[in-house]
Formats: sequence, structure tokens, C-alpha cells
Amino acid sequence: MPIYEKSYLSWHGQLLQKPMTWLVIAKTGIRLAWRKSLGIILFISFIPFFFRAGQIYIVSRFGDEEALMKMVRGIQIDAEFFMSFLKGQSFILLLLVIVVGAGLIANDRKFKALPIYFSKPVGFWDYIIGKLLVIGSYGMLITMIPALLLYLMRALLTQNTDFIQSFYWVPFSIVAWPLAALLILGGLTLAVSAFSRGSRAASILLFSIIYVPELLRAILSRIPDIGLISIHATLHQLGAIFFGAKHPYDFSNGWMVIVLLGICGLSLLILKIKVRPTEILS
Amino acid sequence: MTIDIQNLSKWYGQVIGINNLTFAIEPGVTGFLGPNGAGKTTLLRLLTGQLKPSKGMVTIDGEKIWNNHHLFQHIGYCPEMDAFWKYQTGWNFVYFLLRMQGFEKKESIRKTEQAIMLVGMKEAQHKRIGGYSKGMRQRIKLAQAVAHEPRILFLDEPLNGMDPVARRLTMDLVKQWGSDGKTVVVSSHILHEVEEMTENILLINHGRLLALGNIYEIRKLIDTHPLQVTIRCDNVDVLTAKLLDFEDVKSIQFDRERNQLTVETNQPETFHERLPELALKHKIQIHSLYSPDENLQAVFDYLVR
Repeated sequence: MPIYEKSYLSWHGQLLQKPMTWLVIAKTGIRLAWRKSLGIILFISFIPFFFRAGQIYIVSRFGDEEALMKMVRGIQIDAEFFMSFLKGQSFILLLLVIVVGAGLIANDRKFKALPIYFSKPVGFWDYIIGKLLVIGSYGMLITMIPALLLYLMRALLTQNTDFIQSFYWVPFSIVAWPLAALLILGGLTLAVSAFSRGSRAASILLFSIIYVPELLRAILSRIPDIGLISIHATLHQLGAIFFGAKHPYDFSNGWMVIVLLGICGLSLLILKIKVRPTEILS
Repeated sequence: MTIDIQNLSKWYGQVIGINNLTFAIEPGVTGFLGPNGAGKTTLLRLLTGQLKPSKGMVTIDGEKIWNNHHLFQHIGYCPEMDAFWKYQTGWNFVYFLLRMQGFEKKESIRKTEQAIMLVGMKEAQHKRIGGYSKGMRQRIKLAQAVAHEPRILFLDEPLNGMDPVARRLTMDLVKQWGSDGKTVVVSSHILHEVEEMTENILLINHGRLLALGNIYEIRKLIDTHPLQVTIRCDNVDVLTAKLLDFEDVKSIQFDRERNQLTVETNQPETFHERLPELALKHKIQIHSLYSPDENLQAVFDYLVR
């Protein structure tokens, strides 16, 4: 039997039974998504947080001093306070989703990297979950995490347990609303990204899908149920439900659920068609 | 590992990509040969589980490949087209894909370095892939395919764009992997490249299996068909007249305006030996000589005819 030079060493170790490829995709995506423009968005997104933190601090520590209270008159640290914070953040969230998410699949398609991904032990859901986590991580960083920190701050600064007893459910709402919004927005972003061959085209398309209907809604606000055309408005309505607040728009919850489920279904359908190792050319 | 293909077909709408193929691939190197558009890449994608068969199945050691991600850990695939993020470095590209295979960080680093060394890309490993030459890109693609030490390796046109040194290195590696008992499938449309790496080939065209087996047996079959030789010279009439005397010359077409003649011969070797003598004896200056059908497409034409 001939003896060959063993330039190609064999490895006899054990591979992980089910590699967590989604985690590798997510980690790499988070690292690659980082750039200067994202840093600026994150910086801007933290300004309202510090402002709100200041308000909480003043209300909690100097609640008895009339002069200071005049400055923060009307500020109630209740469920609506946190909802209002998240509502404000949602505008930046939409921008962040475009910056982070537009290129996630579009670039893989542009560089024809999907066959490489899917020649590894990576399934459709591993890929999608990994990409969603990239959007989710940055999204949570500007919504859920600062809101929870504000809640914690208020809870710590209050001398008694009244706040926690009255608003024990608020942390669940703080977690649930951004999660639902990120799932819907993330799915939509990935679908648009999968539809495009390049992050620039995907960004423009996403911007049009998110902001143009919102603009139309604002202009045609007298038309009943017009808010349903805007993802921004439907997500706000969803937030109001989670926080038990007054509905900001006139459309029914049933229609809102149908619209949001429709967005999710359509996004999934596009992803199923577009995210394949091999593109089928007709 | 043995790959079994049973009644495999793939349609794209009404177009048939692969037409009812049944064969088996044993360990060692097997060359997939076929002209562009023959169905080689479709077949490789079916074998690597990237495409779902319309009919039939592909099994590896008895397990179906389609949707079986566990098997993907044992497969290495080097696609024909560029398939990477050009802003990444070669090192990061290989490392990232190793992590996707399920290797731990430390092991992935070790394997990345080993694979990059193997394909001779050490010096350029930390440069961005976007700045690589075509040959370098081919080599880094090859590195990701072998980095996890798969038992089955599919290489789609791996020598495209490589310089002669890299080409030789890759051919030697492929032969080595075959000798080590791995199942290596190399697709190419260049006959002599495949011939260098293996004697065992599979010929396909229009998605059909044309021939399977030893390359020399197939060559012999081809040699029974006449070969065309086109000659440009300064005295077409004289050369045509002299060539007509030989029995192995089946036909001659000549073009006085272009000083060119095309000869069809049954014995190309004898013909090529005799031609210089003839030219010297009759003082005919030959400007160029080539065989328009000495490529794989012509071979297929003969086989299909």
C-alpha cells in the first residue's frame, strides 16, 4: 500500500450535535452592522433616556419641593410615562431598523452567499432567527432596555413599595411591546431585504413602506380607519393595548390584528421564496 | 462514504435540468464532465442537498441528503461562482463558516489556519476578499470547503481562474484527498484538467448521463470518430492534392481566399506525424494548425450523434 504525505490531517473530535448556527449568524451580524451612522443613531436615542431619567430623579427625590416640582409639573411616573417613552423611541427604532436590517439578507444575496450558508448545517429558521436577532439586539438596546432601566430607577428611588404594587405589570408591557414590534418590524425588514439585491435599494424600499403611509395617514387623518395603512400607527395602537391606555386611533383592534398578522404572513412568504440556497430562474 | 443516486430528475418549470439519473459514487475522485449548461451544477446542488429533487433521491450512506443538516457536517462544497462577503478577510470568511459547522472558537481558529496554509493563502489571509484575484478567491473558497475536514467534497469548477502553480497545487490536493479515502467529486468542462486528477469520470449533457467509467475507455470510443484539423498555409492547392492520397483522410474542405483547409482524419496521430514531412518535402509554409473539435463539446457531439 502506498504511503502518502499526510498534508491533510483528519480530526477525530466530536462535532456539536446541533450547532447553534443562528447564534453565530447573529453575533457576526451584530458585529458587521456596527458603523458610524449606527453609533450616531444610538447616541441620539439615548438623549430621551437621560431626559426621562432626570425627570424620574427630580420627581422621586424632590417631590416635596414646590419650586422644583413646578419644573416637572404634570409629570406622573405611571404606566403612561413608560409608554410615552417607548412611543418616542419607536420613531428612532424605525430608523434603526432600516440602518441595521436593510442589508442583512440583501448583501448575502448580492454577494451570492446563500449557497455557502446552506451548504453548512444551517436551516431556514436558523438563518432567519440569526438575522432577526441582529435587528432585535439593537432594537432592544434603544427600547426595552432603557425603559426597564427607567422602571428600575423609579422603583429604587421611591421610598416605599407603592410604585411597584401599583405598576407591577408594567415591566411585562415594557418587554412585550418592543418584542412584538421588533418581531413584526424585523420580519418586514428581512422580507424587504430579501427582496432586494443591495442594502441601498432595500433601505429606500423600507423607508417608503414605513414613512410614506405614515405621511398619508397624517394628511388624510379625517378618513376613518386610515391609520391601518401605517405600520407606525398600528404599532402604537398595539402599545396602547399592552399598557392599558386609551387607543390613539379610531380603527378596531380586530382590524389591527388582521393587518399585523398579514404583514407577518406576507413577510414569511417572501422570505420562504427568496431565502433559498439556489435561486430558481424561470 | 458512498453517494447513491436513484432515478434523479429535476425540472425547472417545463425545463428539465436533470433527467432520470441513476448511478453511485464511491470513495476516490470522480470527475463530472459536461459542456456549459449540461447540468453539472444542478447535479452538484442536488447532491449537496441544496436543491430538492423533483423525482428520485440522493442518499449518502443510506441517508437522504435533502433537509438532512446533520449530513452537511460531513460535506464540503466549493461553488463555481463567487459566494462570499467581499468586505471580509479570507481568514474571517473561513473562520465564520467553521463556526457555522459547530466547531468551538479555539478549534475553529486552528482549523482556519490549517486550511489557509493548505491552499497556500497564508500571506493574503488578512486582506479583504474584495481585493483578491480570481485565483485567490478560488483558493479561499476551496479552503472553506475543506476546513472542517469533510468526508465528501464537491468542487464545482475549482480550477477556474487559477494560475499554473495554484492549479498544480489544487490538482495534487484533490488527488491526495482521493487517495486518503475521501469521496471527491470535481466538476469541470475541461477534459484534460479532470484527466489529470482522476481516471473515473461521468459525462453528462442536457441533464442526461452520456458515459460513466474509466476515462481511457471513453477516449477510445471517441478515437473511432474522425478528428477535424484546420490548417492555414501558403499553398492550399498543393497540400490538398497531397493529402488526398492518404487513406486515413476522409474529407477535405478548402478555402482559397483564406488559404485554409479543414481535414477530417480517422487517425489523428498518424496524420500529425506525416504533416511536417509533407510540408518540408513540398516547401509548404504552415502558418497555423488547430483542431476545432478537440474540445469536450465535440466529444459530446460525437457521443450524442
